[in-house]
Amino acid sequence: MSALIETKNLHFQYLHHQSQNEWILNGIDLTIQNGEFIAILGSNGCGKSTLAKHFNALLMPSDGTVRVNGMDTGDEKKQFEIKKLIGMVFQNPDNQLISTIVEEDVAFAPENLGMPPSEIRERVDWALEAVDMFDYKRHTPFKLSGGQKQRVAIAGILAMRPQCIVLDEPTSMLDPKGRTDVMQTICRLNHEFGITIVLITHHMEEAAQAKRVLMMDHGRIAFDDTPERTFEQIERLKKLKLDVPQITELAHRLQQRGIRIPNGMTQVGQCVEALAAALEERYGHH
Amino acid sequence: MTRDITVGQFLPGQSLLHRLDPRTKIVLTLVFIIQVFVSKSALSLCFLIVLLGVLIACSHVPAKKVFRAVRPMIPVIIFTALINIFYVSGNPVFHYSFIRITDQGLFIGFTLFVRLTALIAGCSLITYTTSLNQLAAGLEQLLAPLKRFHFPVNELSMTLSITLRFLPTIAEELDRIIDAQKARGADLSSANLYKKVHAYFPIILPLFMSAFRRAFELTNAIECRCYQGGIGRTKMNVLRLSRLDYQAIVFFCVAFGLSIAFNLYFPTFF
Amino acid sequence: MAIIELRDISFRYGTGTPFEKQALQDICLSVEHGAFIGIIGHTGSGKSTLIRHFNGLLRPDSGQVLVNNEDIWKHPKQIRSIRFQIGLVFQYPETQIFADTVARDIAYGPKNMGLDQETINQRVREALSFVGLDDSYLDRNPFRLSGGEMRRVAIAGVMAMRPAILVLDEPTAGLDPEGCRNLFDHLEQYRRKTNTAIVMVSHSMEEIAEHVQRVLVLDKGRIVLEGSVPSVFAHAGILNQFGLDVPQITKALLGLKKKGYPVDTSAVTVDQAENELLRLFEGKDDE
Repeated sequence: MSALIETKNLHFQYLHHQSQNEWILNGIDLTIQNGEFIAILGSNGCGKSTLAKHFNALLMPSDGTVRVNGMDTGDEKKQFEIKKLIGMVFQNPDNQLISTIVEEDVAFAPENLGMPPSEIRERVDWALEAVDMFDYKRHTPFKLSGGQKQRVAIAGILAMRPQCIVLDEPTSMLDPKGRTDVMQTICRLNHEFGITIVLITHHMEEAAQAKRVLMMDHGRIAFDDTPERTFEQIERLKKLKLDVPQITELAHRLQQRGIRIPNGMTQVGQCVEALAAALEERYGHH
Repeated sequence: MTRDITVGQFLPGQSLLHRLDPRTKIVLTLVFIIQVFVSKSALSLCFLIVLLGVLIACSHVPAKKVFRAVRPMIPVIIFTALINIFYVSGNPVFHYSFIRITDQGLFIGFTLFVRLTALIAGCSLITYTTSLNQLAAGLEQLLAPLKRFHFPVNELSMTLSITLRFLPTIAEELDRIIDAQKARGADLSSANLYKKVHAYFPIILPLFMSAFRRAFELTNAIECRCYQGGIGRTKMNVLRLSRLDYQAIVFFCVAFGLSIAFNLYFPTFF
Repeated sequence: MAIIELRDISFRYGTGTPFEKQALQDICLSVEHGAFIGIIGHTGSGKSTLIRHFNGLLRPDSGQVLVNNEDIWKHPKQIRSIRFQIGLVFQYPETQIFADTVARDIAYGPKNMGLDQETINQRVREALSFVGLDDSYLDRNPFRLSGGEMRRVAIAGVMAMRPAILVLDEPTAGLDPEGCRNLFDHLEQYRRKTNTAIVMVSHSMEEIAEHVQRVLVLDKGRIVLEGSVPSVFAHAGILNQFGLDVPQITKALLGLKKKGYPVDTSAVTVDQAENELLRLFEGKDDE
């Protein structure tokens, strides 16, 4: 497996030569492999969005390097190629859609890539199918719900056939239904199409669906592990001003009261099974 | 809030006019406008009315809707017609003090009324049968030759498309900000102009801030989708002239020719 | 006595256009002093339309809105005075900040009330302290504050009018967990100190479970469920139908119950669930 994204000693500050401020990114060494599903957590202002913008050359390092498939993001000749490989989806779906018709919006990137019309059509249909919005292709985005708009925005990126999609708080403006739909879409892109996912989020329940969790604090990576091991560290998470999923918190407290259930659980199903097992066990003693 | 903003007045449909290529429609609308201006004799005017009737029938747009588009212009049309009635010289048919109405004045006033009505009705047909997106695409293609003179046709059409896309969003935002400031007791009903301008400041400023923020985010999003201006760009929906377009063009050429002929050979009033 | 009472409110959008839509139907509700009420419902269920009726931004097609037992539409010209009694904080309120200093922005509401400068100054300080910001913020540029601080300044701008009810539309949207906790701490203190009622629209069931006393569930412009937090979240199936959910913790208890354990599923917070589960484990011990 080769590294898709690799950052070495990455430092960043806007206009860093004149600025007295401390680094927004303060020495990030990170390797992301093809096909991974990574969640990045951290309080507001910890630098996670800034980091994400380095992955597809929207921002250049002040110091250190970022390489995508071996290409340096600082190399201007490679930037177009990098943007094609690493797509980005932002928080507000309204500010990403550029056309008054869904399918024309999704066609925007392939059109920019100068593809023949038949190929564009094929990609647009495929991308809309992949996010489950095919039936809306002639609709105007203005009339769609937030979750639907965000899925159209994802389709717009998907139509470039990127290897990786970076999503910057894609669900923070959505209602619970929209949030679930978007999360399902994201998981599907990873499982079915093998697209590398980097998900920035405040929602621990969403981060729990990833396979690897990064926690950021003051421009550094404070923790980098599986969701289970991450959510075991309840005290540490709280110190980083983060929350843990309710389930995890509950399990942790029960454990402290001497009930034997595993640590770092994040899913409701898991927790029910564990509680049932613990109840059986205790019940069995008598 | 939830004010429904329909930019333009497009009525989706499958009529002959709907199916025409937008470029054909733009060019033929121009032809129609010229025809309105050259139709001066009674016969060519009658012909114009018949032509308009045929076009409305081909568009499946209810005639009522077409004339509703004319309605806001009626005062202007009547004013123009009246001026002509009073000021054109000819054989007086009515004379009282300084008011003098001539037969020619009456005729010209009347024809002007008919021509202006037909003009607006005809132009409204294209907006009823063509979405703004199609219109923009049509314009972009028609203007394409200008690219040779370094005229930024792609960028222009991109700007137009983004404007259309964001108008309803910004309008909704405006409603929301007005409501929010009203909730803090903003009084926007003052008749005093100075006070009014003052009262709108807390609405205009946040609206601008928000527009800038959107523009900034949009720039990032567009860059992420590999936009580099018009260079090397292709289109998913390529406009293609069909048989129907050629038929329409021939039809209009004949109609235009007839109009000219009527004017030349039957130039009299009646 | 209720501060505000809505009697059979119905409202349609775009009457006479092709986009006509029933937005609210037969809504009845009342809010008492010091109450903390939550409103949930998916996008388009009518929540925003409903709260715009509270302070007369929208006028119902039928039904009455009573504030202190008086119909607010009796004198439509005086509707502005209602807005000072029913404070409305919209979604992402920081986007409505316009003044160059924090103090001036918070003073906007009190100024519109026609208060004298001294009272205004006092109200501004008071409101700022309600949201946990000290006087050093008064002369700062609001656009240079962090997102969470801007949000709190915007909320203070409504608190400064000393409304009897504070209505908040998704007050924590986009804040990080720390920012959410912080905001709720201050809202709760403010409610206790001033006895102001709070009505909150939220998408987070956990937030609702944690903070409010009474929940209203809206769907297609009607109130479809209403009651205490545990009684509403007991209807997990019905909530799902309306595109809503119950807190994770309640889901886990419901899962246990389904497996046949005698567990009380009314717990909606981690504390309650912990106690309930401990009871369950200890209960088994005694057998």
